[in-house]
Amino acid sequence: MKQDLALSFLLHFSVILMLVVLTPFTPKYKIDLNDVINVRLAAMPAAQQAAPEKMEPINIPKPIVADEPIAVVTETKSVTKAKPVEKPKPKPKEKPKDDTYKPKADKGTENQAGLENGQKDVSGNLGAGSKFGGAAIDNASFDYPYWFVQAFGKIERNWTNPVYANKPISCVIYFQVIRSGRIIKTEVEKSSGIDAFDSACERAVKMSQPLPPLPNEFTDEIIGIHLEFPYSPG
Amino acid sequence: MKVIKTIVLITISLIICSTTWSQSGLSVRDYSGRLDEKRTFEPTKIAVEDARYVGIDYITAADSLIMRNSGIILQNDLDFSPYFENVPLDTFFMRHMELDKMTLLGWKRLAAQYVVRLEVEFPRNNITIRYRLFSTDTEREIRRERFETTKADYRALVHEIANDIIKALLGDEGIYRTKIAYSKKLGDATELFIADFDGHNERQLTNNGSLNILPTFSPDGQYIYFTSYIEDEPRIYMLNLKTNSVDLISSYPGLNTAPAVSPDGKTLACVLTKDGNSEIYLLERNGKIKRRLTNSWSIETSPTWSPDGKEIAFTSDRTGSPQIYVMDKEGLNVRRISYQGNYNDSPCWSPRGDRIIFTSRNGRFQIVSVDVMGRDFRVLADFGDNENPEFSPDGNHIVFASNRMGVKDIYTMDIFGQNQRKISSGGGCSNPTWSPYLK
Repeated sequence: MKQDLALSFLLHFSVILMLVVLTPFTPKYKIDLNDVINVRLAAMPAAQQAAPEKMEPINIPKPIVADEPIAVVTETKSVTKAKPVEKPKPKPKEKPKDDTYKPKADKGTENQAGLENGQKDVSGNLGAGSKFGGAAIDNASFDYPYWFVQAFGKIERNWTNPVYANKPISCVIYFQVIRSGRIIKTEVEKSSGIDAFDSACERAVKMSQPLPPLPNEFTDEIIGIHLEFPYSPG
Repeated sequence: MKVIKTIVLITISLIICSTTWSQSGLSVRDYSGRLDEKRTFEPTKIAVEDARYVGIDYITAADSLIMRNSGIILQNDLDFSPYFENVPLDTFFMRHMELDKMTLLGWKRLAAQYVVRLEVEFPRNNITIRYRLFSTDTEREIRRERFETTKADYRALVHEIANDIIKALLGDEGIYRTKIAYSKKLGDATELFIADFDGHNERQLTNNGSLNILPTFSPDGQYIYFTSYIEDEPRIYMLNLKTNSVDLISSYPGLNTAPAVSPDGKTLACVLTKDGNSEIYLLERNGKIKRRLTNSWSIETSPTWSPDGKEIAFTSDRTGSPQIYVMDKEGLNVRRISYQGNYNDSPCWSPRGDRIIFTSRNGRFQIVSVDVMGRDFRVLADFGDNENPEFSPDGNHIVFASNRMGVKDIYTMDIFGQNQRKISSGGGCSNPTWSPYLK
C-alpha cells in the first residue's frame, strides 16, 4: 500500500515537474492565418464616412426618386437607344466629384511634374493605398474613373521595385493607349536617376498590355497618360 | 515489475505532455491545402444581380430556371478570375427600400465596385440577355451588350457575357469559352473526354475501348494529339474535333508518347524509344522525324514548349532522380531548374513565359511553380496527391488531377493556388489539358 502510494506520488511529481519544465519552452498557441479559412469582412469604401451626408439628401425624398437617376434614365436609354442622351448626363455629376477629389489630387499633382496645357490631373482615381504618386492625362475630356481604376490596378499588379535607395526617388512614365486598349508608346518622361528603377516602371506599363479598351462613348482615338512611380526608403 | 510499471507510467505521462505540446502548434487547414503564394492585391469587387425578365409574354418554369441559373453562372465565372471577387447580396446591410429594389448605392455599401444587371427575354425559342455594367462609384453605366442564342445554349451565352466583362474591365481575353480535355476511366478502358472550363457539357471524344492518355491541343484548338494503345503499342494520334476523325501521327518502334505541339503548330515534340531508351524528338506535323533533341543514357520525357517556341522544358533522371530541365529547340544549352524534392515531373510552361509549373514529390505529390531560372519555388496545391498541371491560355489558372477527395478527379485553381474547384466527378480522371482560346 505504502509502496503504491509512494509510486503514485513519484509519478505525479514527475508529471508536474515535466509540465513545469516544459511550459516555458512550449510555443505560444499560434493560429496560422495562412491555413485558417479566412473570413474577410467587407471593407466599407473610403467614401463611406462622407456617404451619410450624401445619402440623406437622396433618401429624404421618396425612395423611388433616389433610384430614378440610375434606373429610369438608363431604361429610357435602352428604349430609345439614343447615345447623345448619355453625354449631357454625366456632366452635371462631374463637378461635385471633381470637388471631392481635388484636395487629394492637388497634392499628387504638385509632387508630380507640373501639369501642362490640356493635361488633367487624375490622381483622385488612384484610390487609397495606391503605389503610384500621381497621374495626369492629356485628354481633359476623358472622364471615366472606372477606366483609370482598372488600368492603374493592372499596372500596379505588374510593378515590383528592384532597387534600394536611401532617399525618395520617383519616375514618371508617359504612355499612350489606343481605342482597343493597346499601349502604343511608352517612355520615361522624368527619370529617377536610377536606370533599374526607370526600366522596372516602364516594364510594368508594358507588361500590362492590353489595358481595358477605351469606352465607346469616348470619341478620341488615343489617350496619353503620365504616371508617377514613387519610392521612399523604409 | 515495479520498475517496469514505473517506466510505463512515466512513458504515458511523457506522451501526454508531448501531445499537449504538439497540439499547441496545430493548425486548421481547408481542403485546398497550404498555400505559399498570396495575392498582393485586392481583387475587384463585382456584384451580379438576379436576372430580370423584361419581356411581355408569360414564361414557363423552365425559363425562370434558366434566368436564375444565368445569374449564378455569371457570378461563378467572374469569381473564377483571380482579379475579381463576387459580392453576395447580404440583406443585413440593406435598407428597407432596397429589399424591394436594390440600388447602386446599396451595392456600394456592400463594397461592390461594379454591378452587373441582366435583362432577359425569350423571343421564339431563343434567349436574349442584355447585360449592363455599372460603376457604383460614379453610378454610371459603363457598358451594355446584348447576346442571343438558343435556350439550350444559354450557358455559352452567359460565358460570353463574362468574357465581355473581363475584356471591358481588364482588357484581357476571357477564358470562359475554353475547354478542358482529359482521360477518364470507363470500365477497363480509358477514354478521352472534353468539357467546358467549369466541367459542364462533358462529351466523350474517343470510344475505342483502349487506353487513351496525355491529350494536348493544337494551338488553333481544332485538333487533339494524344497517346493511344489502340494497336497495343503506344502511338501518337491526332483527333479532329470537328469531324471526330482520328489520324495516326507517329508509329515508330517502341514507345511513341507525350506529344507537345509547338506554339506555331508546325512541329511536335514527343518521346520515342526507337533508339533504345526514352528520348525527346522533334517531329513534323505528318510524323516525320525532324531532329533528335536529347541523347543520354537516362530517361527523358514530358516535353513542354515555351510560349515563344524557342525552348523546351522536360523531365530527365540523368542525375539519378527525375528533375526538370530546359533546353533550346535545338537540344542545346540544357539547364536544370528543379532543385527541391527528389521526384519532379510533368512540367508546363506558362503562356506568359515567366513561370514553369510541375509535379513535385515532397511526401505527397504537390503542384509547384518556379520561375524560368528555377528560382522562387512556390507550392500551389499540396492537399492529397496532385499531378499533371496545365496552364489556361491566359496563364491565370491551372488545371490538374488530384485524389484529395478519395478518387482522382480534375481540379482547377488560380495561379496563386487559390479558388480550387473540382470540375469532374466520378473519379478515374487524369491528364487534363486546357484548350487555347476557341473562336
